[in-house]
This record gives sequence, C-alpha cells and structure tokens, in this order.
Amino acid sequence: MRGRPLLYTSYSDEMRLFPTTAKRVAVILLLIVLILLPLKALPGFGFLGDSAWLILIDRALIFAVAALGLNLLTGVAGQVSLGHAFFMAVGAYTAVLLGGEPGNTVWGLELPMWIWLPAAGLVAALIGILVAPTAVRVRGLYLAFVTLGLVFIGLYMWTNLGKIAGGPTTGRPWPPLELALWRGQEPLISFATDGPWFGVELVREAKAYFFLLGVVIVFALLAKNLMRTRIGRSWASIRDRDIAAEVMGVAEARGKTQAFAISSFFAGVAGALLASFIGRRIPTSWDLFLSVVFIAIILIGGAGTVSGTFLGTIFVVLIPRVVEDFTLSLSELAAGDGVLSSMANLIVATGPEDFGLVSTTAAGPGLSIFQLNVALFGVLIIVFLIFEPLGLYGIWIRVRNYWKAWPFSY
Amino acid sequence: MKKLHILGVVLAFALLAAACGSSDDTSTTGAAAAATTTTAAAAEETTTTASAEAGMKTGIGVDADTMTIRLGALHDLTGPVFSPLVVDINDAMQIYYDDLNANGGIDGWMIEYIPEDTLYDVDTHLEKYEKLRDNVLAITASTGSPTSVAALPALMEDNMTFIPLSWYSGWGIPEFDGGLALEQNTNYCIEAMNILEFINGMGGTTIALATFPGDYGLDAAAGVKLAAQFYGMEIVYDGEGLVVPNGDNPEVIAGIAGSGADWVFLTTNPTTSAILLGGAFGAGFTGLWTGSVPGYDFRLLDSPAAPLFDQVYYQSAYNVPWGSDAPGQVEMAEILKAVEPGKRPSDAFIIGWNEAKTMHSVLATAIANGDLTREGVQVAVSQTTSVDFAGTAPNQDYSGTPNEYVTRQTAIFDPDLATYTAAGGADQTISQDDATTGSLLAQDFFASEAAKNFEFSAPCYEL
Amino acid sequence: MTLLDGLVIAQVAEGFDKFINTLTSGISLGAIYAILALGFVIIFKATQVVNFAHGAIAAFGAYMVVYFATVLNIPGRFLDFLPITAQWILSALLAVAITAVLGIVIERVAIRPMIGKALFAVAIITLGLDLIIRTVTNDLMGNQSRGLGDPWGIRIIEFSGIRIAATEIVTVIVAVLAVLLLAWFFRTKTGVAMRATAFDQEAAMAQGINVGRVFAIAWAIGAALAAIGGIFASIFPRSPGGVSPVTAFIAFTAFPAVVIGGLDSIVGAIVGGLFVGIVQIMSGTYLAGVSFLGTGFSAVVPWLLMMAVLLVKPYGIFGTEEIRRV
Repeated sequence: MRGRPLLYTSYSDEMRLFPTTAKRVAVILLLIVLILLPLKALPGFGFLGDSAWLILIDRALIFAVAALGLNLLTGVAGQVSLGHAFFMAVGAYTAVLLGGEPGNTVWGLELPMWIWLPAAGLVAALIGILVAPTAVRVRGLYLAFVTLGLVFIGLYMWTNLGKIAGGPTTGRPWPPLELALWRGQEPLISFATDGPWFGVELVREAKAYFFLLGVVIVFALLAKNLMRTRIGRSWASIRDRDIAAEVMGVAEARGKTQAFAISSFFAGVAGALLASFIGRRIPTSWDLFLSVVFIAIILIGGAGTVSGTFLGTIFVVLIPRVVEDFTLSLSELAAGDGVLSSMANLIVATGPEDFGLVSTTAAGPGLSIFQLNVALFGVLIIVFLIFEPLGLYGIWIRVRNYWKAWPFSY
Repeated sequence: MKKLHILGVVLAFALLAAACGSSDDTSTTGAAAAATTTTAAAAEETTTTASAEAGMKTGIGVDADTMTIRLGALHDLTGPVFSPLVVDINDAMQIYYDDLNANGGIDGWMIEYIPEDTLYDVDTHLEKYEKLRDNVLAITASTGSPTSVAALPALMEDNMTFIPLSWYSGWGIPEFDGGLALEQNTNYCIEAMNILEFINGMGGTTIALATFPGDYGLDAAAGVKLAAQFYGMEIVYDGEGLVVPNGDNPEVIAGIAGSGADWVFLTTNPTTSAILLGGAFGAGFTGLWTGSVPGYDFRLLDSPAAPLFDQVYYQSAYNVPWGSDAPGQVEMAEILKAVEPGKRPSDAFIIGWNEAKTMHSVLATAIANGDLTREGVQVAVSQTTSVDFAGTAPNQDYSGTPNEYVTRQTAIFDPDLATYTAAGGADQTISQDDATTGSLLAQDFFASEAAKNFEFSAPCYEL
Repeated sequence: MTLLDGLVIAQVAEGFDKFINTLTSGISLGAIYAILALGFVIIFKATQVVNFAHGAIAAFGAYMVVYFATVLNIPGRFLDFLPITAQWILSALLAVAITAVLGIVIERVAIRPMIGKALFAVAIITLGLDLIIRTVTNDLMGNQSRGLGDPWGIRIIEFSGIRIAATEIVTVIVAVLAVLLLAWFFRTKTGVAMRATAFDQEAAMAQGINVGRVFAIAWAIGAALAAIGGIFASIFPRSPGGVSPVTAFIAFTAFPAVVIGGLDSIVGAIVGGLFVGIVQIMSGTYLAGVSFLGTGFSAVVPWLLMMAVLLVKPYGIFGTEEIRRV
C-alpha cells in the first residue's frame, strides 16, 4: 500500500526478497555502484578501481561466499564450526586435482572450470555429509572441538598428500579463472589476464571482479532463499530450541546434516576460487586462523543475516589495509612538529632506536604492522562480542531505527 | 546511543583516512599513470625523460627528477622460520644503502630501499611483491627458496632482476630463472659436497641425513648423496624431506638416534636444529653434527642447547664470521659501529652487505651504460665479471657458463661457547673490539674434489 | 646359553630399554598435557568458558620466566646467596604469579561482561584473546627462541640403558605436587565455594558465595597452571631452543586430552593428558618406519583418538552428560 511499506497484505508479499520499495531502490543503486567500481567511474572513489584495491575487493568477494556458508551453518542452524578452513581446503584441492596441470610430482586432469568449480563444492559437500554424523552426535562446545580437530587432521593430510597438494613448503599452482570448453582449448572468456572487453581496457583483477560478483550474487540469493524457506526455518528452530524442534517434528539429524552439506558446498567453492585467484597455496595456509577469520566475519557482521555477512566481510578484509595506511600516515605526521605530531610519535616508532607501540620498520621495538593487524583483529572480535552482539548489522538497525523515528528517537 | 554515533563517526573517519592515505600512495608510482596493466612490454614502460644526466634511459622504479632509484626487498622479518637471521641482513642492507647515499650515491643517484615483511609465507610473499612490482627497478633481496620460486613467474613477467636470499642451485642456471637471479656465493648442493669432504677428512664414514622438504632441503640432500657416492660414505638414515619445521619430529629423532651414524647432516632452521640435536642427545646419540648454513644461528649459544652445539656441531659458512680481519668485514664493522654501536654482533650482516654490494656494482655498470631500465640492468649483469667482496667471501662472477662462474668455495667453523661467553655472550655489542659470535675457524675457504669434479649445468634438484 | 640366545636377549633387552625410554618420555609429555588440561578444566568447570587462549597464556608464562630469570635476574640478584636452582625456581614462581594476575585481568575485562550470554560467544572471545596475547608475547620474545635459563639444562640421568632427562623428572614431580595442592585446595573454604559454583551458579549465589570472586580465583589458578605447563614445554627435551612463537600451539594438542577426559572432569584431565602424551610419543617412535603415514602423524593421533572417543562417548570418558530440558 502506498505510504505504508510495512503493511503486507499477502504472505508472498511479506516473504519477498525485497519487500519494500526502499529496499528495491537500494539494491538497484548498490548494483550500479558495484558495476561502476572497477571502471574507476565512481566519483570520489575512483581509487577503488586500482589494482591494489581491486585485489582486496576480489578477496572480499571470495571470502563473502565462504562466510555466507558459515553463516548458514553457525548463524542460522546454530552449529558452532571452527572447521571452515578444512572444507575450503577440500574444495581447493578437488579443484586442483581436476583442473590443474600434471607434473612429475603432482597429479592433475586439466579439466575446464565448469567442471572443477562445481565439483569443488560438491566434493566438499560430500565430506560435510560424512562428517555430519559425528557432529550430530556431539553438542555444544564439543562440536567446536570436533571441527577444530578436522582442521588439524586436514593440515596433516595436505602436508603429506604431495601428489595433490604439492610440496609442503611450496604448494603448487592452481588452474586460472578462465572458461574454456574442454582441456587444451582456447578459453572463451578469461578472468585471469589483462585485455579489453567490449573495447574497455581491463586489468585481470577487474575481470575477476565481475566474475566473482556474479558468483556472490548467485550464492547470496541462494542463501537468502534458504533462510526464508522450510529448510531455513527448520535450522532456526534447531538453533533456538532443538529438543522442542524435534518434538514438533523437525528431524534434527537431517537438518544438521543438510546444514553441514550446504555450508561445506559454499566453503568448497570459495576455497577453489581463493586458491585459483591467488594462484598458489601452501598446505599449511588452511589453518585455524583462516577459520577464525570467518567466525569473526560472522560475529562482527551479525550472525544469521546475509547483509550482516557482507558488512562483516568488507570490514574484516579491508581493515588491514586501513590500519596500514593509517599507521603510515601517522608516521608521516610524527615526522613533523606540533602536539598531534608528538602524540603520533609516541604511538609509532620510525626507526630501530625510536620508541613506539607500533613500528613501521618491522625490526623495531613495537609491533609490526602485520602483528598489529592480528592483535587488532582479536580486539575487534572481543569488542564486538561484548558491546554489540548483533554485530555491524545490529548497529545499522539501531542507526536506521533512530532516523526512522526521528525526531522522536527516544 | 551516543556511543554508537561516536563509533559511527570514528569509522567514517577511518574510512576517509584510508581514502586520503591510499590516493597519496597510488600517485607516487614511478611509472606514468597510464600503466595500469602489468605486462612486461618494454616499449610501453621505457619513458625517455629529460634528466640531469642527459640521455639516461629510465624506466619503472627510477625517478629522473629527484635522481632516485627504488629497490625493493622481500624479507622474512617476523616469521617463525628464519627471521632473526633476516632481520640482521635487512639492517645491514639498510645501513649500506644509507651510507652509500650519504657518500653521494652512485654517480649522484640516490637509492631508496623499500623492505617488505613476507613472514616466509608464500601468499604474503606474492602479495608484497604485488605491492612492489610497479614501483621498483629491481629486488635487492628475496627471502626463501620456496617463496622466491613461487614468485618466479611474476618476476619473469616483469623482467625484474632480483637477488634471492636462498642458495638453491637453480638460481645459477639461466634456463631456470631467465638470468634474472643474481645468486650469491655457492649453492646448497655444492656446499653439501664440501661439507662431506670435511667429514671424510675427519674420519666419518656413515651419514644420517635429515632435511626440510622443498627445494631448500632436497637441493642439499642431492648434493649429500652425490658426494657420499664420490667419497664412498654410506647414508644409514635417509630423512630427506621429512623434517617438519619447528615441529617435535619424534620420527626423525628416532631415525637418527637409531641409525648409529658417525655424522648427521641437517638442512633445517636454527630452532629445528636445536630440537633434533636435543632430542637425539636425549635418546643417547653420540655422533657429530653439521649442516647447511641456514640451519645454524650463533644465537643458539644463548639457549639451553648451547653445550650441544659447542661440543658436537660444526658450522658451514659462505662468508667470514663477525670479527674476522678480512678488509670487507673491517670496513662493514666500522660503518655499522658508527650507526648503531649498541647492536649485537652477528654473522648475518655480511650476507646483506654483500648483496647490497652486488646490486651496487650492477647499478653502477648500468648507470655507466646510460640505461636504468630493467633491460639495462640485465645488460649490466651480463657485463659483470666480478663483484669484489673484499675478502669476506669468494668474489662473485656472473659471466660465462654456469660451470665456469659458479662459486665452489665454503668454509667450516666450530662454535665455541667459551669464547662466546668470555666476550660477553648475549650482552656483547659491535662496538667491542673482541665482539664475537663464537665461531672458530675449522677449515678456511676451500672447494672440495667432489665440487671441482661436478659439472654444474642444471639444478641439483629439479623442481 | 648359545650366542644366538645372547643376541636375542640383547635385542629384547634393547627393545625393552627403548620401550621404557619411550614410556618415560610419554609420561613426562603426558604430565605437561595433564597440567595444561587441569588448568583448562578448572576454568571450564567454574566459569563455563572454553578457554582457547590457554596456549597463549602458557607461552606468556614461559616468556615471563625468560624475562625474570635471564633478562632481569629477579629475585636472584637480591638473593645471590641462594643456590642457582633456588634462584631460578623463585623467578619461575614469580612468572607464574604474574600469569595468574593476567588470568584475573582477562576474567575481569573480557569474561565478566559476558555473563549470561551464549557460551559460544565467550569461546570466540577467548579465540580473540589468543590472537592478542600470542602476538604481543611473540613480539616481546623478538620472534625467536629464547632460553629459559633453567638450572637443569640438558642433564640426563642414565642407569642400565634407561635415559631420563633431569627436567622430565622435575616435570612429573611438579605435576604430582600440583595435583596434590589442588586436592588440598578443593577442601578449603574457597575450594568448596568453587565446587559449589561449578555445580550450580545460582544456588551458590543464593548461599552467599561471592561468585565473582570465585571466577577470578578460577581464572588465576587456570592461568597459573597454564604457565607451569608452558614452562615445562619450553625446556629440554621438549624445546631445547627455549620458548618460541610455536610454543603456544602446544596447548592445541592438549585440547584432545581435555575432550577425551571430559571437558568438566578433573580426573578426566589428568587421565586424558597422560594418555595422549604416552600415545603421541609411542606412535612417534614406533610408527617412524611406516612410510605411508608421512610426517607429523604423531601430532595428529590425539585428534583422531578424540574423534573416536567422542563417537562412543559424546561427553568424553569422564564428562558429565548434559541434561537437556525443553
């Protein structure tokens, strides 16, 4: 009804993906922004189209796919999982086994991307189904330990399966992101080389961006749909009160298995994309820290919501860059005079003899920028969990409600 | 509610700060702003700019207006594997370039040294290389065998000359690295042959071999096996590629201890060497130990394992240790003392110093040729017949065939705890005249018979 | 007795020696795991928090010993009439005390605000804490191995073919002392209060027990035990190079021990710790020749065991089953 956007007159209206006009307009604007971004056509934010930023944004898109999966498992179905890195690894290694180049120390079948990418997801989903019975049997924090064990068992496997994963310290190269019909043929579209599309000159990161954007949109729609249909509701009931859910007729074991399978599918695809995009992964890179990154994304962004997942991903992936730039600008500030400059000097150490909490030369007394990022990451996790358990999405909701009710915001 | 508003404002500020910060960064790339693509098409990148040096061709990483040459470095500064050694190397390099700049640079050209921390992690190494690739003329150090190998495709794409901080034999073979790598000293394979001749001279006949996996460990293992055959020694425990970096390694320890070998050959990092020595000692092993250069760090003499390294370990070396009276070492010591008198002595400084010297020599030739592009640097390399290390290591040669120019000499030292402690142990500073890392000379620079007989035309360990 | 008999007996004796040596090694590693597991379980029982930061706290404790014993030489420099061993023990006790304070600080700052919130969220907070503490400790260490300066060094005691490191004996003695001390503690007034809180927080509060103080004490004890475990994990023979950035990861191998024993069982922690330690060393030594297992198998054995145990007993061997109400 006009002027009353929250008045739904039919069930299908309420359950629509974008029920209000405001939401529809926002989504269209967002899509326009996203498409213009790599073309450096956004006013004021043109720098985001640079290679260095595009690489970060591409990584954020890939992380978003994996995070969407973990969101379904942990945020919607309530299953604590620290094993996301394991499933990503499964997907990545399936991809390289099917799509990679064989060598004298590694196996590979050189199949095209339209085989190895879905296969990565499917194999990961299968492994998720295999793991599910153990996961169903244990509950609560014991499940966290089981999934943690998966990560360590996985690390052992990847370091020893040299034929699949390559050397323990060298890894192996992954098949590039390009769409060909069959092995050995020229790719129809390539997302991994520089060149023009429809006359517009694009770097490889920009092409990968468009591909990944497409993938993310597909998976986001998938996730949103899952959440609003029967499966999603059954997951939510398992999360909230699983005994009551079982009493009501929701098959707990089947729901949990579905959750593991589907989230592993997301993780597998994301793992394959990540490895292919970076080009080379060493077996020890699929570690606990990677799993923690995704847990942090879910919690910082807001568990159980798709928008929260995106907010969390952007935040977590871009923070290291922001911190680095901020520290560098602080160190430039410290070189000058004035009150601000002496404060900056206290915080940043520019040389090995200088005092400071953070050091720009990694050998100084303070934390290096990388260490600062890791520590800051931990601080953010703690701060968000204590002060804003609903995450960035919760903050957004509060801000939105404030302005909706303004000037009666009390 | 108010808190949230402040938080929101702060976040917005941070994003703005990032926006402002990054736009500064991107505008200082040496290349013309049009270079958003990263192909190595030479024609696009060589901009002939009018400069103080009339006719000097410049390219990426060179700023003709300020007469600055930018050199990047990819170092493991905070990683768990080799970082204490690399921190010293980085410091020495930085001081070398600062000193060079203070003395007028190379013909008036200043060097801007840009180190990046790679944590000995392949992903981070590649990421940091992405940051540097459009901004520097050459890479003056790239830490690690696996990491440098992983970056090789990108380096070849950019025609980027680089100095690997790794002694894998492949760096000396132009077919492997496209002639881009300026290898330093010898390689793990030939070093292993020299060490085996030393062991042979000490009467050892059985060897237990334990190495890291990957090109670092397996290159040395290949050398060990070739030399064992040459000298008629038996490898009673073959642990090539089995050692887990910084891990407990009970399997390897059990293997070494049970083998009853006379000597153990390790290709690991200092922490893991300590674990293996300690573990085998605990199991009753009484043989002698030695291994590739990166497996020992004098700082092990500060640890509980010090008596073990003192009594049973022999250290291999590509360069002279701190405290030697080689002219190059003395010169470096003077300059280091002036800049940072409170620094701890280290055997690793000279590695960074000599790498910087190599780059200096190549750049000087390039400047003399009037061509400071990446191609020009390559030409300068091919013209470099000898880099003078002033007695700290055999002079480096890059011309001719690999078999002709490869360095074959290494030296053997014996860590001595008493000497180290007498000079002050961990409290020493480089300003002390008697500062030492405890390494006493056991055999001065030599090339073994096996090494001399070895036809070096391909990497010992093929990737 | 023929020559052949003699050879067989020698081989059996050698095999027997190897077995005893492996067993003693396993018991000493098991003692370290047991100490770490005990600390973990005490924190979990009293405050219902899964402490993923346990390893980082252990590494911090070990580094504190480095700092007090080798860098500052406190209290040794004031008490140099005491033998070196006594001086080092005092430094170690000081380091343990500081780590206990760290535990209290963590409890106040990060755990107290989360009372009543989901357990999962608190567990993730400890993951965040792990990142922070580990990074800062690594930075203090200078990202390299640092020796603890312990007085036993690499001394090995040998008798009739059996070799035991002096530090291994000390580890087991300290572990036993710790268990005895804890047993005594749980009979004191504060200890009983802690047991009551672990049993039912609300009822304990109703009885007038200061639950906040119990939480703080539980974290202090847990952190102190972590520090002790960290110290023994950073000396010979576990880590002859001293404490290093990888020391924190040893606690991750202690988690299977905790889970096998049961997250809330003190007996389970000790039994689980010993079991995992022995199995790990045994598999490392005896499975060394099996080539298809590759490298690092002994580190993954505890996790495989954990999965197997959980399939049969989802709450661990000694853990209490959760009673779930709708």
